[in-house]
Amino acid sequence: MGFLAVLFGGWSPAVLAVIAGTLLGFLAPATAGASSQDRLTRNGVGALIASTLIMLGGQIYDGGFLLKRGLADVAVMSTHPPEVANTAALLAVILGPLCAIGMTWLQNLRNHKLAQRLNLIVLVFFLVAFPFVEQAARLNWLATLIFAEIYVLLALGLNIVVGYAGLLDLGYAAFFAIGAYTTGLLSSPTSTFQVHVNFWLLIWLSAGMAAIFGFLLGAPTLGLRGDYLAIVTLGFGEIVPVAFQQLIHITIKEPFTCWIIPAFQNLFGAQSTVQCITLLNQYNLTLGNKGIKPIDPPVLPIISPNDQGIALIVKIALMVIAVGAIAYLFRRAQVRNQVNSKSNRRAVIGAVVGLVIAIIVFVPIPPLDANAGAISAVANSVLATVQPGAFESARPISWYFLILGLSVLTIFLIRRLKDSRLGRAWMAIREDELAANQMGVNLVRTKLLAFAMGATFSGFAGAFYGAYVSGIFPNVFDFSVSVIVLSAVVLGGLGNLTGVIFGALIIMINDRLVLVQFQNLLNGLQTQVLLPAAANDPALREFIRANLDPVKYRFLLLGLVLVLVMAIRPEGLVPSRERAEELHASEEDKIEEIEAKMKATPDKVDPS
Amino acid sequence: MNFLVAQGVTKTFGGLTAVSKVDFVMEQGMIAGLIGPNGAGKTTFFNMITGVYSVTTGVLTFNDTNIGALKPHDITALGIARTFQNIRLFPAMTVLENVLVGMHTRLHSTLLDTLLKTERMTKEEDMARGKALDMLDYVGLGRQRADWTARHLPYGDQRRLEIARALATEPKLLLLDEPTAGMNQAEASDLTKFIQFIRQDLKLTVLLIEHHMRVVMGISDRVTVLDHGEKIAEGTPHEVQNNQQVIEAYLGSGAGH
Repeated sequence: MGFLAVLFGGWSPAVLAVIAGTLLGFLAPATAGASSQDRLTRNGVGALIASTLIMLGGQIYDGGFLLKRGLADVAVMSTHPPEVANTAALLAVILGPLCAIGMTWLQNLRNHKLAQRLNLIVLVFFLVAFPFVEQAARLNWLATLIFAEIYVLLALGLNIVVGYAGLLDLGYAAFFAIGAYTTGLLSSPTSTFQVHVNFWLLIWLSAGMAAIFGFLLGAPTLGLRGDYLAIVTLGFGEIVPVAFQQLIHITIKEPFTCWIIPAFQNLFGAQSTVQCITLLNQYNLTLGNKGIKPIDPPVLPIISPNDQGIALIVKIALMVIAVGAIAYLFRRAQVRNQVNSKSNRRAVIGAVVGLVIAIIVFVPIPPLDANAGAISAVANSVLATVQPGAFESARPISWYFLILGLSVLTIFLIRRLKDSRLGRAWMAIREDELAANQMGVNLVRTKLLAFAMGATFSGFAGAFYGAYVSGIFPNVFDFSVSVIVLSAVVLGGLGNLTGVIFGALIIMINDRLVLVQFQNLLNGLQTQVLLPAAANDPALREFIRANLDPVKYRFLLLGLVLVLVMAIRPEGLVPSRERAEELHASEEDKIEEIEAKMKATPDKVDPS
Repeated sequence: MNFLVAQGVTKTFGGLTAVSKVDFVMEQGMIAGLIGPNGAGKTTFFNMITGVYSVTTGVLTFNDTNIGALKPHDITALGIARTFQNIRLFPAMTVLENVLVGMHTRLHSTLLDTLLKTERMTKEEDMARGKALDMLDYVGLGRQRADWTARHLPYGDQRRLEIARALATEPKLLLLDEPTAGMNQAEASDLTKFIQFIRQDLKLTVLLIEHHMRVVMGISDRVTVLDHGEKIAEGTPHEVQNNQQVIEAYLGSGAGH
């Protein structure tokens, strides 16, 4: 974290300290058996040290070292005045420990249900507040974070196939590509179809298309296991991008008139008399390497950014009525079915809260009269920050919330799947295929559904990717995507949702944000310090220029991280219960012992 | 009405004949024992009944349905369940989940039901969990350990869980492959009593492979002896024990203990 602060400078120390403190407070109690008072002190002190390090990092960046050396131009955040660094440092040292203490206190709460709920609230608060804070602090992290979340979505989908059903899939990028191309083909002015399907419909179409191809890929692999399956999926992953690259002159000839009838006539020595009918001639479906761009961005169906005055009010009213009606119908249906009323109330509250947030965030409120004084100026600046407005590439907040929404939906659905008849069948197949089959699990159907459901979520990711980047090219979906997603799943912890999410975030943030920024820094160092210093030695200069480029080593670094994690913690960073036990079979006795103890004294023993 | 009928059932693997022209009939409600030296083809015979192997020649019918070429899950749906010689639970899943997997064919919620969490699905799921917990009590595991990971159960309890999982498929015919293997005398006799109890209580028909002669002779209505893939004797336990061919097949392998 301190290193990150060195890299990013500006306001980043404050933000990093808050994140670090909160994580520390959240994670630390689980690893210690000390009394709650001790934990509070220890975590507070820990966070203070961490924050101080972060602060020092930030100070190195802006406060002195680099600025003094005239290296301000090396980094993106050089726009901050030096005072920012001092304020950020102060904030870091104050907020970091505060967050840690707060979170530790939360974990120490006797009432576990309340603690869980408060944790959730904190999480939601962070997720919602983050983009606004990020914008205000001008950190430039959001665009990368959106990419990271695309990979979160992909990793969640792959986790179904690999983590739950135990089917090793090395060609997962293919479904991502299919989702993206479905979106591109159906909503781009350059696409041959010349249609503009609404994004909100298209995202389901893309998911459906990916699912269909999931079935198609699944079918030939059904008899295969382990390594063989992996090779087939690898092949599929290679075929799909190449297919998208090459589908640029499709010629389809009608077989009867072109081959069958002439062949017969030739057989009897006659000249061919039928005219060959060509159904498609040199049809360019995917535009090959040129790619499909631009792609339509999503449009909120009711409210457009240009609405003002009465039109706006009418539209909001319509939206309120619609959501109200849905909530009401939902509630009535549930009351009739005698499901407990608490969940109804929650559903209605959820619908209303969601609506209010949607209105505040997405409905453009016109700026107040600038002459009304300081209050309206403040209000205007708040509005400008809070309101992301339309889906434009320059305004990442709306995209952030869109992908966040998709991720939440995905997690929600996957959790339902996991605890269902189908989810259990997936895991049974992973554990023991023969026994599962003997217990009545239809292997064909269950495996196909695993491939299809896994593909569905990458279809979501593909649709979002297409719309967000507004352009798709076949070489984007190469093998490295499959590898990174699989690495994220394995690194985070096979079969564990939290682990998989963390895995994807960690890999992508390091790969796309930290490494790139590190490169910026090194570039600055190179041009300003190293190259002038090595002015007399052309060979050295060449060496420096060629090799001082961390982005070049991204796969090397990824590989190193994977090797380390697999050697030290083979079950992943946040393992699922099953995997952890599987890989530490020798510790089984210990676990049994702990379980026995837990039975004896359920309150005192902390299972760690 | 014929319950389970095998006529001239043969299974060959390449040139090797594992089971050769076996005729075998079971009436509903009986407990039949299948014995024979190692490699006699008992488990192969089981695997044909449960669909793991298809029948090479011969006819195998269950309730007048030809099951010789059906898939294992279809056979399970018809009402045949089994346990395994060396326990094959789903080791990383919980005890409860193991039983719930057994209910797979008796549950009907579809993918769409699950994603939309329809009322049908939630009701079925609640029902299934209740039933599974009852099943744990029924086999004597107790519902307190429902959340344990299956591999953490003691050996004897794993056997019981395997039976619970098999019973969860609501079978008419239960195949037990050496259910008392690795158990001591007391445990084995407990299990024997339990098998007799479920036969009565659930109106089950039971076919078991067993090496414990005391067990198999004690509970079987009829004993069939396989040797080198062929049926060499069949009859009441008393008849089989005094059969000269059987004694020869077992000679030196401790037939009388």
